[in-house]
Amino acid sequence: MAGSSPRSLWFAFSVAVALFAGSALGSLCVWRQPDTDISGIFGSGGSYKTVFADINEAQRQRIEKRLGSALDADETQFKFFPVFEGKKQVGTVMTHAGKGQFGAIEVVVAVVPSDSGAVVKEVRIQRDREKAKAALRSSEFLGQFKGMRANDEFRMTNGESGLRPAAKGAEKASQAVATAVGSFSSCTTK
Amino acid sequence: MSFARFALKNLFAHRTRTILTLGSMTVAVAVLFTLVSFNRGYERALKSQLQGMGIHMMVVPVGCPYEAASLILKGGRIPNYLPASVLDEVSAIPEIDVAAPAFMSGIVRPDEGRTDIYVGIDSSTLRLKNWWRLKGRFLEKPNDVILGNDVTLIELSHVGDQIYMPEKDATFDVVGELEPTGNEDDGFFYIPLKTAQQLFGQPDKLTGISIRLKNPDDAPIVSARLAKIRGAEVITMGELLGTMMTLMGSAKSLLLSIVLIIIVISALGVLNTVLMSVFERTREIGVMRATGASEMHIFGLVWIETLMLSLLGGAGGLGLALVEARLTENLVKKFMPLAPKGSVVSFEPGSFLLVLAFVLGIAVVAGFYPALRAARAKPIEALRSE
Repeated sequence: MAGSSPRSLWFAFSVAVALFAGSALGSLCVWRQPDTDISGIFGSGGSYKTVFADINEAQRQRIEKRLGSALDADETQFKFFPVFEGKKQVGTVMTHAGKGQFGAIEVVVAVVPSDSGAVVKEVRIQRDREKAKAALRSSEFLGQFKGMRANDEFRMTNGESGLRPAAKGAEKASQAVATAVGSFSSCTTK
Repeated sequence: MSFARFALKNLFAHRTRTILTLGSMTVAVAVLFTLVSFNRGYERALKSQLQGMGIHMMVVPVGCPYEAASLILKGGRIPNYLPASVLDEVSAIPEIDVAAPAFMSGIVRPDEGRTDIYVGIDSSTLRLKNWWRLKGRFLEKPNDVILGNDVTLIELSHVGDQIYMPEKDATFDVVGELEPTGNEDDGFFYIPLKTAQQLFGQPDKLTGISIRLKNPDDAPIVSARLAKIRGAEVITMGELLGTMMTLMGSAKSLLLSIVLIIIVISALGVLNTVLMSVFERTREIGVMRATGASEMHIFGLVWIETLMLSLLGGAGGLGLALVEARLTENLVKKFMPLAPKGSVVSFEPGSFLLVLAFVLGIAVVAGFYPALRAARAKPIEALRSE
């Protein structure tokens, strides 16, 4: 989407969201600390609203192709939170629950518009019961996602070039985080 | 023209006033019907949930069991435990079919707004809760865990997965998952009894023993025997139900007083509407009396008008209650401390008859004075009025 203006990108995003609009699923999770996250990520006391987005089979296949891995079978809907400062939309947040090594892991992903497409601004973990909790929440691991775009590689590459797992034994949880970021990034494009 | 048609025509002549009065009646009847249905439904759901547990009584440590339950839910440590030796004394009573020991403790997760409740059990629980449908197998090894159905959804974990308890640095293998039971069992992590006792630093201690009797009629005899065990207290399911209903009693009284106020306001509204109508039609009533209508005719006419107003409002209220009941139920359950699973609103013929009696009561009380006043109007004075 190189060359597109931010306004047209947000329009594309809105269209994508509108296309997705509707049902229920397992990957949805609540946004547990919206105020803290908004001020921490966007540096403002902004407001947000909630948008539900269904994905059909074609969209699902497209996202899975981009991610290089399958979404959960019951993953048929995403929930977005457009964030506003006054009336201006400054970004979008998505929460996503995935399966970690030792239970569920809930990820908060924030994207902002840029001239070259939606860009990941920050990734946070709001719930997990992982043994490698500290490594998984570290800026070394989560910082890898900053600046990523939908076309980037969202697979853990175990020390090769690309994304590295948080710690040994946390590969499954690390991939759950990457999947959450990747699926959201893919949704924010046409 | 019949009385009914005449009354209806008069009601339509003042539409705004009639609609406003009908509105207040509708709301009053809807609130009353919902509250009565909720009260009956809640009691029934609670009773059915307690009976569904298949437990006739429980032996718990001395002290307030509700305070203990509250402490566990908040992740606190209860002041007293039952020594494990109590189980032998309980099991020795011949009238008891199954005595299932349990150790329950909670770990609060404030960020998630919930508490993980771990329940230590042994195979006797499987005999006690013979309606459990288990995917996988029962607990065999110290680090086995069975997940309640709600837990599988929250943790996205199933048989073959692992669950880590960071607070105690313990890893469990998920060996089983419960199919939905429809009660609180869905929300627990079940681990072996000894593991639970060790993890929470209370070896050889129990938080309770659930009991099923061979014959429920033996409850008083068994209860008397169990009461003799030192450090133990017995709660029968009947007592538990009674206490829960008492806890709900105060809230119920408050709601009933609000409903009473609504009833009085709506009765005054009906009275006002009909009385206004009588005042406005004084001359018309005078003409009717002068042309042969008796006092009873006039009384009946005004009274039928009140009855129609009340019945229409009542019908609207019942309809509104049927539509909004589920919404109210969901809202109320969020704030209820002891909300049983399933529906707690039960529409019954008895509730319907009660509300019908209320509607007729309003019609009789609110319609009597205006009808009497209209009937006693002297024709000559009525004809002179402006």
